[in-house]
Amino acid sequence: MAIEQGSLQSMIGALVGNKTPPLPQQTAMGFFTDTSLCIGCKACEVACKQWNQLPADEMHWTGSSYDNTGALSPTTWRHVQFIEHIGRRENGSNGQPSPIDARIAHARGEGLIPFTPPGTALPFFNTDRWLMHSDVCKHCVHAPCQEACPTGAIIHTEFNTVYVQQDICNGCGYCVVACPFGVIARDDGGDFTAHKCTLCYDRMKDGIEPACAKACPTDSIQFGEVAKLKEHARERLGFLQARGVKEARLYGVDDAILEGGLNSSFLLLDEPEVYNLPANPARPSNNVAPASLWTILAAMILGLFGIIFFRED
Amino acid sequence: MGSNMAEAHPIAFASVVKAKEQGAKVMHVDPHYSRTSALANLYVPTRAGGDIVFLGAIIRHILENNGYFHDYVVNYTNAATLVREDFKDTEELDGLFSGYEADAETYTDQSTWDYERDKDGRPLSDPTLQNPRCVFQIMRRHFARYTPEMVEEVCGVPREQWLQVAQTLIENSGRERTSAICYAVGWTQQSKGVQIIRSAAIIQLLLGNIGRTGGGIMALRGHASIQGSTDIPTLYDLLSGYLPQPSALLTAVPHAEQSPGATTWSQTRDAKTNILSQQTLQDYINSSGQKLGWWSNTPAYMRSFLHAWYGDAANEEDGNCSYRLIPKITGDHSHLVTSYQMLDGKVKGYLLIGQNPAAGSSNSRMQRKALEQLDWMVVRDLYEVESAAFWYKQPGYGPDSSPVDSSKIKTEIFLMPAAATTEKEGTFTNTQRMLQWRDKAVDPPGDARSDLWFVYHLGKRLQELYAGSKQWRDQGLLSLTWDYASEKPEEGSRIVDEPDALLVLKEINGYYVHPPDAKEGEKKTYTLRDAPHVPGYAVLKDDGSTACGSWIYSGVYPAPGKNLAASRNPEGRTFLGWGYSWPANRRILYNRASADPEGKPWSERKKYVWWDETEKKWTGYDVPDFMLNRPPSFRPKPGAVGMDAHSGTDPFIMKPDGKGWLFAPKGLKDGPLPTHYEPAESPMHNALYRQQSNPAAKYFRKRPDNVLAAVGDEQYPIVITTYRLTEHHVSGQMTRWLPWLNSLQPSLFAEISPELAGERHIRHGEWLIINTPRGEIEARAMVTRRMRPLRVGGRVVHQIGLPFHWGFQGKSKGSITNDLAHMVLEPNVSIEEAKAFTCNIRPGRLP
Amino acid sequence: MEQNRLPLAIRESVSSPENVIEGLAALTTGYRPEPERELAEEPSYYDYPAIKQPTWRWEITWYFFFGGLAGGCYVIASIASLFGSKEDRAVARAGYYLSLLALLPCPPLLIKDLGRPERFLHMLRMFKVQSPMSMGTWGLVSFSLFSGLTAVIQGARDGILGRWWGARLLAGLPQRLIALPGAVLGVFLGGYTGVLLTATSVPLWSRSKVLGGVFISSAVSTSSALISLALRIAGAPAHTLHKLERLEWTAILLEMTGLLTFLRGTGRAARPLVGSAPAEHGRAFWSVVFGSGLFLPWLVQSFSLLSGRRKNKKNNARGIVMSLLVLAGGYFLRRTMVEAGHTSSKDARTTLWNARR
Ligand SMILES: Nc1nc2c(c(=O)[nH]1)N[C@H]1C(S)=C(S)[C@@H](COP(=O)(O)OP(=O)(O)OC[C@H]3O[C@@H](n4cnc5c(=O)[nH]c(N)nc54)[C@H](O)[C@@H]3O)O[C@H]1N2
Ligand SMILES: Nc1nc2c(c(=O)[nH]1)N[C@H]1C(S)=C(S)[C@@H](COP(=O)(O)OP(=O)(O)OC[C@H]3O[C@@H](n4cnc5c(=O)[nH]c(N)nc54)[C@H](O)[C@@H]3O)O[C@H]1N2
Ligand code: SF4
Ligand code: SF4
Ligand code: SF4
Ligand code: SF4
Ligand code: SF4
Ligand SMILES: [Mo]
Repeated sequence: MAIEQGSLQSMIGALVGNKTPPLPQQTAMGFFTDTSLCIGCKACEVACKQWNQLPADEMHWTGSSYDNTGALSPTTWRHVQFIEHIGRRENGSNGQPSPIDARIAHARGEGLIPFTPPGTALPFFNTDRWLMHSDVCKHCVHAPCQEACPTGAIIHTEFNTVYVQQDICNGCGYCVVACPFGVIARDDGGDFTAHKCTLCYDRMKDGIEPACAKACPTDSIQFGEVAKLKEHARERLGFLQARGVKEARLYGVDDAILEGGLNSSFLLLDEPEVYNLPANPARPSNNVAPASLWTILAAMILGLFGIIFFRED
Repeated sequence: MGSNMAEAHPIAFASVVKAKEQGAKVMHVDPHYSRTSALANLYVPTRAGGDIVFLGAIIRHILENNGYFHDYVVNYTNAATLVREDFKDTEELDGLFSGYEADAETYTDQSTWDYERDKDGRPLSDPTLQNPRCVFQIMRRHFARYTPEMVEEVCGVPREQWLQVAQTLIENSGRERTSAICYAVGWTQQSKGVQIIRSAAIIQLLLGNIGRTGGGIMALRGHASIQGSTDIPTLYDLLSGYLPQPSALLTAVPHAEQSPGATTWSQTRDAKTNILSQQTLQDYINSSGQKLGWWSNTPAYMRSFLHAWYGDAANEEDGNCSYRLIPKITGDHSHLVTSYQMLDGKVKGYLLIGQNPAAGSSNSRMQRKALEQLDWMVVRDLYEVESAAFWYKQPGYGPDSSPVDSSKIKTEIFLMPAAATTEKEGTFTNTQRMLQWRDKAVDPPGDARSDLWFVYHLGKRLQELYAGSKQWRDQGLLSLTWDYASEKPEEGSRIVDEPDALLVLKEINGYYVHPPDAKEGEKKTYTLRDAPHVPGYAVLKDDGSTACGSWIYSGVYPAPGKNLAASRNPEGRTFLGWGYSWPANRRILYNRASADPEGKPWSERKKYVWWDETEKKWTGYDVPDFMLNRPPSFRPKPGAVGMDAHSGTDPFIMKPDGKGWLFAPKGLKDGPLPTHYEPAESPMHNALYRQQSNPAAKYFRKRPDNVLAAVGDEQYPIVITTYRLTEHHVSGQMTRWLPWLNSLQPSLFAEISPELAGERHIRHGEWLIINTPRGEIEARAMVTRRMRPLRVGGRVVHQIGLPFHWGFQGKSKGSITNDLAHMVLEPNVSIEEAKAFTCNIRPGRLP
Repeated sequence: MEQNRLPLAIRESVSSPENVIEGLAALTTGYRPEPERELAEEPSYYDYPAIKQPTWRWEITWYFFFGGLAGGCYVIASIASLFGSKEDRAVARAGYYLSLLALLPCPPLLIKDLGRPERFLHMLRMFKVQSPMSMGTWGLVSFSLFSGLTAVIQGARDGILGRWWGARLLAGLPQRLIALPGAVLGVFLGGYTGVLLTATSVPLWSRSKVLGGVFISSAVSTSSALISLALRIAGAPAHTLHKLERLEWTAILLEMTGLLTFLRGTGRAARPLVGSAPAEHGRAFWSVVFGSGLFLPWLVQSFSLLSGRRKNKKNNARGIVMSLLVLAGGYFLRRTMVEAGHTSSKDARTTLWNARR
C-alpha cells in the first residue's frame, strides 16, 4: 500500500492534533421520510448519485419487485424499497367460482345493489398495497458509527448530523459493524474509507436543501429542523390513523431508538422488519461496560488461581 | 383511467397526491397495478380494451338514476337538441350508425347525424328532454345495453367495484363539487381511442364538470412539448392553431353542411366525383370554416397565417395566390401509414428528427424493414439510436430473423448530432397548454446544433439551391419568409449562426403588416423584424393587414421585451403570472360554464368566473372564455352569424351552436356516440353487437407484415398491454445510455400473474418468450400479484404487461417490445393499438 | 426447556456428524431452527442483510490470536516472577520473551487490516473510552513499551545483551515493579478483543456479553500452553510445569464455562458458530475448538493432575501434543468466531430478531 502524498504530514498533523475548532452549534437538521407519500420514482436515489457524483451500481435485475438496488452501499446513499402486499380477490385459473363471484351471486339473490354511498366508504389506501420506502442514513442522535470510530473521522456536525471526514478515516471498518441499520460501509471498490449519506453537508452549509429532498416530487422526503419535523410526524400519524390507516407508525421519532432517537426519522406503513429496519436495536457502546466486567472477572479468577498455584510451597 | 400517472407524469401526480391529502378521492381503473394504483383510494383491475363499456355503464347509471346535473345539461349541452329523423343508431343497426359504406370501410355519408333544423338552419330542441329524437333520449336508448352485468362480462370488473366508481363520481359532482378525469395513452392507443375519450367527455358534461375549477378531462400529454407539436403541428393534417391542412381532394364524405339550411357558407363541389375541393382559399374557408361560433374567424386566422409564411406575396389575389403555394394533402400521410408506403418503396428519403421508430413505433420489426427500403435517411438525434444503427447492429430476433447483413441494405444514413433541451432556448408547451420559455444553459458539444438551427439553415440552403427557378412547384419554397438570423451572435457562445428563437416566437405571436392606425393614403409595410407585435388574436384581420403564425398563441409575446412565456410569478389563485396558457392566457377552457345561466357562480365553493352586474362584464379568477361584455340575458337575432349567433348562455364558443356536444353531429369518422368495439385482436366476441371491432379503423388486413390473430384464437389466448416505467423514457434512447438509470431498471421484463405462471411453468426471475403473429421477443419473468386473471365472457382471461423501453442500442440492451405490436390505426387520429392485443408465452430464451 | 431438549438432542445425535453437531448446537444454544414458521411469521426485506458485513479477514484472526498470547504470556510471566519460587523464574523468562515474540506481528497485522494503512496513526488522534478499537490501539501501543522493556531487562539479566554498563544498568531496573502495570495492560490486550466484538451490532458477537471473558481465558490457556511447550523443549523442572498445567487446566475450565454461557446467552444468533448448515462453522468449532482444543486437553490434564500429584514425573510427548492442541484450539476459536460473524451479519431475520427486545 503506497504512502499517499503528504500522508506523513497528515499523520504528524493528526498526532499533534491540529483539529479545526468546532463550528458554532446550529439547530439540529434532519429528515422525515413519509412513506405514505412515496410514489417510488427513485428521483431521490438518482439525485443523490448525481449531486455526490457517485458511480452507478452494476446492472443487476434482482426480481425483488422494482428494487434493483438492493441495499444502501458506500456508493448508494438513498435506496428505494418496494414491497408488494397484494391480496387475491380472484382465485383465477381453476374454474371454481371465486369469493367475489359468490358475493355477487349473493347480492343478486338479495336483488339489491348496495346504494350506501360507496364513495364515502373509500379507504385512504386501496386494499392492495405496494409499499415504497426511501431508505437513508438515520443520522442517529447517539450514532453507533460515530461512537465506534477510533480516528474521530465520524463527527456530529454543527447541524447535529452525522458526517464522515473522508480525509481522516483510515478504513478500520469498526463503524461498519457498529451501525445497527446496515448503512455505513467501506468502499473497497474505491478509496477504502467508509462512506454514507452526508445529509448534503456541503449544500446545507450554503443553506440549500439536500439533493434528494429537493428532487422528491411528492415531499415524501421532508428536510428541516428536527424538532419541527418530529412535531409534523406526529400530526401526520394522527391524520392517517383518523383516516383508518391503522398500520401506520412512526420510526425513530420518539427517543426510544438508541436512547435518543433518529434525526432522520420515518413514517412506515407496516412493521419495521418489513423494511428490514430493526425494531429496537441495541446501542453497541452500551456493551463495553458489561463486556469489560466479564473480562475483568475472568481475569481476576485466573490471576487469583495463578497466584495460588505459583506461591504454594 | 388509461394512464399510469405516477410513473409517467410524476411531477403532475404530485398534485394528485396533494389533492388526496385534502380529501380528494383518487380512483385508478387499469389492467395492471402500478405505482399509480399504489397511491389510489380505489384500484379497479380491468381488461384492456373494455373502457367504453365501463364508461358507457356509468353514463347509463347517470341517466337512469337522474345522476346528471340538470340545469347544466339542459342549458349548456346539446341534450335537448333534436337529431334528424333518418338517423339510425347502433341499436337499430347492431353496432353501426347510418351512413356506413361497407366496401369503403368508413362512414361515407354522415349527413344523417346532423341536427333537425328549422328553415334558416337553427337546430330544433326540446328543453323538456322528452322528445324521442332529442339527444338525451337517443343516448338513453343507445346506452341501454351498457349494464353493470356487461361491465362484469366484458371488463371482468365486479359490479360492486364499478358501482363504487360510478357513485363516487356522481357524489363528487354537481354545484358544490367537481371531478376530473385524467387519461393518457391507455386510452388513445386503441382502435377506438377517440371514442373512449368522448365517453369521458359525455360523463363530464352530464355531471357538469367541464369549464369548472376542479373538473375537466386531462389529457396527460407525452413528450415534453408534444402539446406544442399539435398546436404548431408536426402533424400532416394540421397547419397551425388547429386550422386543417388544405386538401387536394377531401375524402368523399359529404358533410352535414349539405343538409338544407347548412350552418356554413355554401361550397362548390365537383358534382361528378362528389369530391370537396379546397383548391381556392374560398373553398378552404367554406369547407373548414364555420358560419357560426368562434370558427367564423377562420378567414382572419388563415389570412394572417398565410402572411406569416409568405409575407407580402400572401396578399396577391386576396391571399389565393399564396394559398395555392401551400402543399395540399391527398390522403393519410401519418407516420405509420407513411411507414407502409416506405415499405412498398414509395418513399425514397426520410428526415428523422427526434424519433426512433425502429424501436419506439408499433410493429417495429416492420418499421426497420421499411427503413431498409429508403435510399437515404437523415437522423438528427442525441445518440446513435436504433433507427440509425439498424443497418449494421440489429441482432436477429427469433428463429425467423438473423442478424442484419449490411451489404444487403442500400439505405444511406446521415447521423447528425442534435442539441439537447438544455443546450438551446425555446418554449415547452405542457399538458395545461402552458408555454414556458426555457433558457439555454450550455453550448451543445461538438457539431451538435439545435433543431431550429438545422431547419433554418436547411431552408436557407434550399432557397439558394432553387433560386431563380420558374417551376411553379418551387415557388412555395422560394417565397417563404425565412429571415430568423440573429442580429448578433450570443455572448460567450462559440456558435455564431444560431437563429433567433425570439423572432420565431414573434412570428407565431403575430405582428402588424401595416400600421394599425394607418390613415388613408400612407401605407407603410413592415417586415417581421420591424413590425409592431399584435396584442392578441382579437385584432387579426382577413384583409392581409396582420400576420400570425398560430392564432391560438397570439398574445404570448404582445410587445418587444414582453415574452409572457418567460414570466415566472407564482402568485395568484390561478397563477396567471406564470408562463402563458393559450388561448389568451386562459387556464380553464369554456370557463363561462363555471357560472349558471344567469351568470352567478353555481356555488360559492366552486366560484370561478361570473357576470359582474355593476361592471356589466364577465370577471373572475381566470381570463373569462366568453365575449367579455355579453350579458347572460343576450339572445341572438334570427339569422345572426359568427359570434352574434351565440346567446349569453352558450359557453362552448368554438361550437357552431355554442353547446357542449353529448352527441357529435359532425367531425368524427366513427360515429356521433361512443360504441363499444373489441380491440382488433381480442380473446372474445363483442358481447354488445354483431359488429366485432371499430368499423372505421384502418386494419391493413391484407398486408403480410401486419398479420392479426383471429378473434378468440387459441394460439394467442393472452391479452397483452404495454406501458412505461418511471426509470426509462419511451424507446429508451434518452435513458438507456445513463448508467444511473440503467441500474435502476436494467432489463426488459414481463409482468405475469402467479396463476398464469403456474399454468405455463414459468418461474419468477427466469426468462420467458412472448410471441404474436408479428414476432417473438424474450424478457425476464416478473411473476407478481399486481397482475391478476380476470373472469370475462364466463371464463378466465389472463393479461400480461410489458414495458417497451428496450432495444439493441444503449448501455442496457433488450428485446424490442414493439416487435410484437400490430399496426391497426384509429380512424380519426391514426394512432396504433399498442395497448390491447393478444399473444402467447412460454418459458425459455430465444435462440 | 433443557429438560425436554436434552434427551431429544441425545437421541438425535446418532451416526451422521451433522446430527451430532445439530444436537450439540440445539443443546448448547437452546434453539432449534423452524424455517417454515420463521419464514411465515418473521418478515424481512427479501432476506437482504439488515446490517453490513464486517470488513475483517484473516489478519484480524491472527492479530486476536497473537495479541492473546502476548498479553497472556506476559501476565503468567509476571505472576511467576512475582509470586513464584526460584525455579519458576524459567516461566517468567520464557513468558517475557514469548510475549515480545508474539507481540511483534501484531502491529503489522493490525495495520494491514486497515483500508488505508498509511493512515494508521490517525488512530492516535483520539482517546475514546466508548470505542474498544480506540482503547485497543492505545492499549497495544502502551503494552508494547512494557513488554519490550521487560523483555529487554530480562535479556540483560540473562546476559544476552552482553556485559557492558548499559546492559548492567538495564538489568538493574526494577523488573517486578514494571511488571505490575505491564500485567494489567497484558490482561487488557488479551481480553479487549472480545469486548471489541461485543460492542458491535453483529448478533453473534454482541448478544451475550461474555465474549471478553472467553477470550481472556483463552489467552491464558493458550499462553500457558505455549510457555509449557517452550519449557518442555528447553527442559524445566516438573514442579514448575505442574503449576503451569494447573493454571492451564483452570483457564480451560473457565473458558469452556464461558463458551457455554456464551452459546446459551447468544441462543439463536449463535447458529453460525455451532450449526452444521453450509455457511455455519459447527464442524470446526466442535471438533477443533471445543473438542480437541479444550475438552480433550482438559480431560487428559484432569487425569494427569490427579495422578501427577503423587509421582512427580513428567510426560513430555503428551504434554507437547496437548499444548499444540490447545494452541490450535485457541487460534480456531478466534477464526471461527470472526468468520461466523460474517455469516451472522448476513442473516437478516436473526438480526431483526436480535433487535426485537
Ligand atoms: N418515465 C416516463 N414518463 C413518460 C414517458 C416515458 O417513456 N417514461 N413517456 C411520455 C409519453 S411519450 C407519453 S405519451 C406519456 C404516456 O403516459 P401514460 O399513458 O400514463 O403512460 P403508459 O405507461 O403508457 O400508461 C398506460 C397505462 O394505461 C394502462 N392501460 C393499458 N391498456 C388500457 C386500457 O385498455 N384501459 C385502461 N383504462 N388502461 C389501460 C396501462 O396498464 C398503463 O398503466 O408518458 C410520458 N411520460
Ligand atoms: N408498445 C408501445 N409503443 C409505443 C407506446 C406505447 O405506449 N406502447 N407509446 C407511443 C408513444 S405515446 C410515443 S410518444 C412514441 C414515442 O416514440 P419515439 O418518439 O420514437 O421514442 P423516443 O425515445 O421518445 O424518441 C425520441 C428521440 O428524440 C431524441 N431527442 C431528444 N431530444 C431531442 C432534441 O432536442 N432534438 C432532436 N433532434 N432529438 C431529440 C431522443 O434521443 C430520442 O432518441 O412511442 C410510441 N410507442
Ligand atoms: S444510521 Fe448508521 S451510519 Fe447512520 S448515523 Fe446511525 S449508525 Fe451511523
Ligand atoms: S472506518 Fe473510518 S469512519 Fe469507520 S470507524 Fe474506522 S475510521 Fe472511523
Ligand atoms: S442528503 Fe444528500 S447525501 Fe444524503 S441521501 Fe440525500 S442527497 Fe444523498
Ligand atoms: S423521490 Fe420521493 S417519491 Fe420518489 S422515490 Fe424518492 S422518496 Fe419516493
Ligand atoms: S421528466 Fe420532466 S416532464 Fe416528465 S415528469 Fe419529470 S419533470 Fe416532468
Ligand atoms: Mo407519447
